[in-house]
Amino acid sequence: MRICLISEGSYPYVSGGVSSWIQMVLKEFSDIEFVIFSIATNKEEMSVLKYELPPNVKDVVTYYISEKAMEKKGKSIKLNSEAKRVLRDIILKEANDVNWQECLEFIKKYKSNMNAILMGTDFFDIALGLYEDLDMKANFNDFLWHLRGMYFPFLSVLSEEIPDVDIFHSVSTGYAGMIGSAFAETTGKPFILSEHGIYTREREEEIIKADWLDGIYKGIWIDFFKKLSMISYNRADVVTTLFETNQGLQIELGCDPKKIQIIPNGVDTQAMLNLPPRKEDTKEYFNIGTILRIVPIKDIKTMLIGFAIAKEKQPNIRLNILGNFDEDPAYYELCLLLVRELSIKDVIFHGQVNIKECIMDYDVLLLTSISEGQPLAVLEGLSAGIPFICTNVGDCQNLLEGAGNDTLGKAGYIIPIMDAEALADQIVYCTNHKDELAQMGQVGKARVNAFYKKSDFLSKFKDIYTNAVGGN
Amino acid sequence: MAGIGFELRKTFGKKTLVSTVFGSLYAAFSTIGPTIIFIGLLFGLQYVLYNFNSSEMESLFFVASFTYLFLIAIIVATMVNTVVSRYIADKVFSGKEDDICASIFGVLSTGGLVTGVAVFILCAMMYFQDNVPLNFLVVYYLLGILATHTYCLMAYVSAIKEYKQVTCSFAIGLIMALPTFAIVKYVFNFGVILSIYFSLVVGFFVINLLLLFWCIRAFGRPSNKFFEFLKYFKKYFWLFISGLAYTVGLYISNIMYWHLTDMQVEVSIFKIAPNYDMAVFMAMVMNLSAMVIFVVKTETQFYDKYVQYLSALNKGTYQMIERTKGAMIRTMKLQLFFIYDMQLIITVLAICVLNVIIPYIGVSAEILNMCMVLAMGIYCVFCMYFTIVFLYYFEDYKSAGISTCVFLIVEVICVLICVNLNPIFYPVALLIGSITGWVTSYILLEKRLKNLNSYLLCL
Repeated sequence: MRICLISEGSYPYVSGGVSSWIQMVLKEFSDIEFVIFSIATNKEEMSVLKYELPPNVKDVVTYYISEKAMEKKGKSIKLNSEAKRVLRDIILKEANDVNWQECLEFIKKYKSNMNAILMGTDFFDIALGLYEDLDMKANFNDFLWHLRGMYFPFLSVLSEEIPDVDIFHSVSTGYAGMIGSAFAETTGKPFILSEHGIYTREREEEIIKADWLDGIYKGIWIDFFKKLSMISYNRADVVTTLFETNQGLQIELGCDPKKIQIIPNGVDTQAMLNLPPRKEDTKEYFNIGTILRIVPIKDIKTMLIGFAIAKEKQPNIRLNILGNFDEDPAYYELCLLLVRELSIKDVIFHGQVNIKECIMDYDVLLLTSISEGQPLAVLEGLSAGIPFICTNVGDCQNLLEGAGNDTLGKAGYIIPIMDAEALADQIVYCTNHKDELAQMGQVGKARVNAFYKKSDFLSKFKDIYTNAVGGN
Repeated sequence: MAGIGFELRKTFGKKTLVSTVFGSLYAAFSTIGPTIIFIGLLFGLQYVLYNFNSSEMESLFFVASFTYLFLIAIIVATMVNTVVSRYIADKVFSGKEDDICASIFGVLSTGGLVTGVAVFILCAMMYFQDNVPLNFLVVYYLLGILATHTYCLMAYVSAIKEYKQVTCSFAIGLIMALPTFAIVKYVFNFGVILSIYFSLVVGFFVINLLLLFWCIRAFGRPSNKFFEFLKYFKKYFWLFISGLAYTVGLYISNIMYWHLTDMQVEVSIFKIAPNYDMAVFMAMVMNLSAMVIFVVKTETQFYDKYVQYLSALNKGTYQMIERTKGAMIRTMKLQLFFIYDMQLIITVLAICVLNVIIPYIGVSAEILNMCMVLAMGIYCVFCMYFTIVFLYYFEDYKSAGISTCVFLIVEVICVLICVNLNPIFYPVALLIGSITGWVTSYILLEKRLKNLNSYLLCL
């Protein structure tokens, strides 16, 4: 079996939850050949592999979205009326109403002229039609360029060569999901969509926060990304999600509930059985750990401030930050500056470490992210019997408190996002309630064993792959 | 041609009386400076020769060699300047003026090289065919290159506001030529023609040095992008063709009649048709006012509306774009037809005046007859040029190139037909060619106006 795994802004160039998930899939399904189709920003940011590619990865195709310049080159293209209708449908119609077969044939035919088409008068006419339909009162030139900016990566990524595989599997909607859908539609092969976060919502949050984008265009961009997601939801044979809340969101966004399977992340519980014991030199402190990449979304600044407040109340605490700081050096520098400015003592940035070798050194683990799916780091920590203090994001509450038929109890504490005081209070509380922590550690271990085993995760995906191929 | 209006707007931007007067003179000078310099020098120096009792053969040799030399300089400089004007405008827009300064040296080298090859061939022919002395050939060769440099520098001069200094540079150069002439004529006992050429070499050399100084002062230290402008020949191929075909078209009838008709007079390696050439030069002088009116009135009035339109195109709603486009087109047509009408009246009046004064200035009836038709021909050439300038504004270089090519091709065909007819029909070739080119340019301009928004936003 040969599978094309399609990632966007992640594997193999960016480490993180999704990338770790992909790496696990690649390693575990060693009998399956994989082709990685990675949609990346540019060579400067994404050219160094962050993961060692397993031998069953046969090829890595990288499409650099920002490397393709949108400028008029070569001769102008005048589309015939049929081609113009297809282009108009792609841009103006709802995702459900677009004939994607036609769309792909169009893209195939005009593959080398995409620039000329987007810079041409036919696209201009369509943009003007849309501008008038929307009764826009905005700067038309901006509107035109926004529209080009939307459809340039959309159309140009589709003009890439289609890998010869049995299954297309995208790990998000967006451009990755769209290209998976398009490839599957063209080849008649099955398409599997695995969403970790909810792409549309993540983009929506980014767009709303973006101060460089005029309000009038925010709605247009949000609708565009919704359209991208709809393409994936419509074409996917199977949609997997990590937890129930995300399933609800997918349905709300238009995904057919019958397609959705909840497949939580899983950890290798056996590997967590014989971990090295806590080192003696760590016992003099109440030792706090956090396993994360040092990037803004993890909100390490709040963590540091919370720790500083807690440190004033309970001096015998130490914070160990375990994780890569290469991804956003500026943010890392900012964190170091904050430590210096606030004169916070006992904060150690360890960099990338082997978690299994040190995880038992901690009394409690922290996660202060402002956005998450179902973090593998939390599952790993819990499986080692270490309780967590987590912000209320993604599936963290369910992981720590249980949901549905899970009545095991609490495996940690949930705090609001970006609330340094609440974090500080919770840390101080933990220092005074070590017995409760020990009990929570056992609950966490039991929960992972019951609901988040890697073996369960793998067997479910094996079934999906097998059924997909068998179904053809 | 392109890029002149751009600089004028800076000049007129000051809105003071003095600057307006200078602006007007400067406008006319930038546009047809090379032709004015050439015709002015030709007539002036013929007068010098007459006063020095030169033989008819000497006089003819001077006129022929001088015409060939300056024609090469004008054509080579136009070839370069049309595209370089665009390069300068882009660099000014992007604030990379050090690249402009660097390109001056690249342009001078390129222009000098092309002219050098052409003039070298003429020199070699003169040497081998007529044993023309080497000292004359060296001076002749140098003048060709220096004149090309002067014309090339005018593209840069049009982009700096120091027109007073520029005017002074020309005056100083020409004044320097006078004592030089006296020294070489009376101290070194050079012949009259060699003395004239030698003094012109000194004059043009001084002019070039001064122009170069003002340019470098204006643009600052050069970067290392000396030949980056060459890419523009590929990028703006049609702009290059447009400039080239226009200039060649302006003189092609002369060149062809020199070689294909019995009007020709042969002196050394040169063949000229003095009567026809004289008629063409007079026709040009009769239409000079059009260039001044165009740059001073038409282009500047249009420019305000053009800026409003571009501003709407960049920052306005579509309704604003349409509104400003309408206003701009109305102004453009009003101004364009104003100059078509006004210059027609001026040219017709000039023809009438010419008919009255001709017996007193000793010009033959043949020249008068040809001049009347040629005046209308040059009028049409200029009208085509004005129309093309608007195509330049709308960045439709292809239409501009097609128009000038139509002008050139039709003119060449007509010349080939006319050489078989009575000489009285010779000027008709230029007239028919220019009318065809003018009509073509106007039709293409109308066509461009229909989809101007999409064209400019899809560039």
